Amino acid sequence: MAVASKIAISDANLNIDELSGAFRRENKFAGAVVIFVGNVRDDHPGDLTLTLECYEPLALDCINMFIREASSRWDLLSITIHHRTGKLVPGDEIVFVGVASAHRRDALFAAQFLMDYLKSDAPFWKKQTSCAGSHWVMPRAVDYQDKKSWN
Amino acid sequence: MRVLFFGNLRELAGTAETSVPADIEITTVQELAEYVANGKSELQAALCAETTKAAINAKFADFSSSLNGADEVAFMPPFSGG
Repeated sequence: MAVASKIAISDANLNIDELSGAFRRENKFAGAVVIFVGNVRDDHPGDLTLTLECYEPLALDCINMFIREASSRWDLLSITIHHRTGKLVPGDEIVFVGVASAHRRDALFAAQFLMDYLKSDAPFWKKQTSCAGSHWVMPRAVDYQDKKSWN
Repeated sequence: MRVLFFGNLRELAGTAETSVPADIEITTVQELAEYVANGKSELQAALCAETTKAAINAKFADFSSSLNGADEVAFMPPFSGG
């Protein structure tokens, strides 16, 4: 059976309480619910913005493919992924990943798998701006290693 | 044909999007990269870098892919999501 999934890409703030609450309510009878939230770090206190852009049609395709792959590897009930674009500041949430399964191991592994692929295999880009200047954030070697570890 | 640039490629191109006349004799993504770089060596090097990915009609494509039926081609630097 195909896993129930919801995907959204938006430049609006993520309401994590609402997303978490809805995901937990929808999966009230699942044995395991894993929720991951990625935030903007405060690397330059008081002076940092992160601007995210994406190629939305391809990003949605990629995320759908990650979900299909995850559900072929683990026994999953439901996946919700919300990803921000636009201008963010420290403390803002970049990504919400919710995974539900009957048993904890499936949801835990799948959440990590989905994040590893979101980091370096979907067309999103981040530009960091601070008093130190601005630069495009490049994937780190560890991001590629994390993804490769699933092969 | 629409040509899209993302991330630092957009900045190097000075635009997020350009268009290429349908009747121009360009057959592959590689040739398109050279055409849109229009002699700007830094942009051409970035477009043709090994780490740059391309998409035709929002599907990943190789640089050797044919542009036959291409309405939209995107050039994308390394991804950094999540």
